[in-house]
Amino acid sequence: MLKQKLLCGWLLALSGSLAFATIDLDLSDFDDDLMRNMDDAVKALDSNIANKDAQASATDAQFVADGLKWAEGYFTGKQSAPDAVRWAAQGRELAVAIAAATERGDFDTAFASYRSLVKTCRSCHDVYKSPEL
Amino acid sequence: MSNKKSRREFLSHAALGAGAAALSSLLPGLGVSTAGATGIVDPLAPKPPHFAPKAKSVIWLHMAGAPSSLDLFDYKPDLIKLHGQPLPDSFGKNLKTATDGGVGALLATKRSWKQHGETGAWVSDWLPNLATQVDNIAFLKGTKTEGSTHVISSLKLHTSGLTPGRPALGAWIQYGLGSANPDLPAFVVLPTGKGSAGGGRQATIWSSGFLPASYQGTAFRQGDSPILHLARPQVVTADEQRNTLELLKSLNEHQAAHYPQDTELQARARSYDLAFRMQKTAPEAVDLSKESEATKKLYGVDEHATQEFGTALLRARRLVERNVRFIHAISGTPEDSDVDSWDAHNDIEKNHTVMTRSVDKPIAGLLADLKARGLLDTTLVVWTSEFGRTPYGQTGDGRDHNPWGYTTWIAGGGIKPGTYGATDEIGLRAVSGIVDTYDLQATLLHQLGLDHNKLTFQHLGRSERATTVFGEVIKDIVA
Repeated sequence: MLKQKLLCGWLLALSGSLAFATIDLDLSDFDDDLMRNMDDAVKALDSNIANKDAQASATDAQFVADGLKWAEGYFTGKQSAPDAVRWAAQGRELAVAIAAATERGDFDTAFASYRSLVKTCRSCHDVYKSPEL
Repeated sequence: MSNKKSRREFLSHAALGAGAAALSSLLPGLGVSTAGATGIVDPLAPKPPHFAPKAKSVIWLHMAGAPSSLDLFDYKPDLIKLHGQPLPDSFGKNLKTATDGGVGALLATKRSWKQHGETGAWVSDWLPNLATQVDNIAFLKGTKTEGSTHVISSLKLHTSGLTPGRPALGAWIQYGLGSANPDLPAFVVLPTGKGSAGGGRQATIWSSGFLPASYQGTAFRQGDSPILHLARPQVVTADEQRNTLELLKSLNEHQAAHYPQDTELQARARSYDLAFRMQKTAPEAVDLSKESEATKKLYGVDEHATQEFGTALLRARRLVERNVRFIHAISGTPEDSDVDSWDAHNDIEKNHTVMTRSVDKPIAGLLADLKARGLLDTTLVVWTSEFGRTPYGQTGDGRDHNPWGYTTWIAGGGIKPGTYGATDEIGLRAVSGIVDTYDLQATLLHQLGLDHNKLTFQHLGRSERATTVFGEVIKDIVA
């Protein structure tokens, strides 16, 4: 499963849509591979919630939560990106909530949290994801 | 067994004749391998919406190449004051601005501006006719997207994907609602001018993607015979064609009686019927001879500069009257012009003078005509482009691509007129009422009675949606 995600991540990378850059923050040491895999996991999570697949949803949500925990630490270390730290933390909490909701079979709550998670992702990407494709 | 095989070969070859070739794309499952495609007996059968719709049809006006909102709708006095100065750091913060031409000095618009109508919408003198229609329009001035290349942003605008392979919005609408007219395609594309196939994107922006092929857009040609290969060949008489189709029908019915589970055979039989009916209905739908001279004049059909786009939009109105769900009209460069689509990297004055002249009167005429006929209330008219253009200049007299802030607008179909959202003081990026292309699509689906969160299709084990994982209905403009 993880290998599949990594492959999908690389396929997505071919579109070049996930390179990160800003004008005044050096993100050259950012783990782009992890972000690609998270991107794929977020998409898979949407489908798994829609299909009411509790186990797969929880696995995806936990993967996203772990990745955002890493991102939270990364941006905390940069010291000049408090908004990114906040978004990563919000996203992590939402991903944890999704995992919990799907594990108890509450897919409506999981989907509501998922919509918030996606908005949080976009808020951060609007600032930190390069529009250059 | 060998008998069955030869019969399939016969059907396969027969599909190339009698006008059916034009409709091979309407057959479900052909060239498509999706879990969700199985079990769809008649993909074009009408389906109930998720809730009561406000609109029945969409006319999607695609300004391929990307016009400059800053010279049409988004009046920025500060940009005029700052003309010739470098882009201030405060505006460019956190934006990776360079695409292929670098960042030149700020470039003021040369247009004159006025507020129009009761809504007071700003429109430049490049669109004098459209300015008379602003009270029907919701201007989304905080539109943004991703990407800075035509291909990627055009794909995103139409399919919500950054790479080819996803269905266009018109295909999703057909999938969700089916066809409201069994005698015409439910998703029609009206390209005009040079380079009009979506600014070089061609059929990928009206593709059915992973949905069954029957949902893809059907491109209409100019002239009396809108669908390629649909007309009966001259060497075949009407009686001969009718006899051939009757024989095919009887053979298909005989076979179908033995194999009721063979949905592809049923669909193929229906496609012959549809092709036969469309030999009459499609030419009639685009025949403007019964339109009054006043109506043709309203669309600019009588003027050289507006003849082609005006003809396309008058056809669009006729298709709406015939319950076609989605009409995708593409603004290309007039045939006798040397400008290159709306993509004004150079000499924007010359480019936009040509391009605005070709669309202004036809679009204003369309809105006025739809309203006069009582059709605007149930028809969504959408002005879109893959992105906008930058406030900073390029090559001294052109503008670069701007995905961060530009104007889209919607008229009719239960949308509240007015101005929503804004870009910053120089028009570089959206700062309020921010709307992404996903939100635009979600809103159009909503007006058609479809919940973008519930309109799903199983593809390769995944539940796919039109707006991918994104999209919010723009509640401020929903009446």
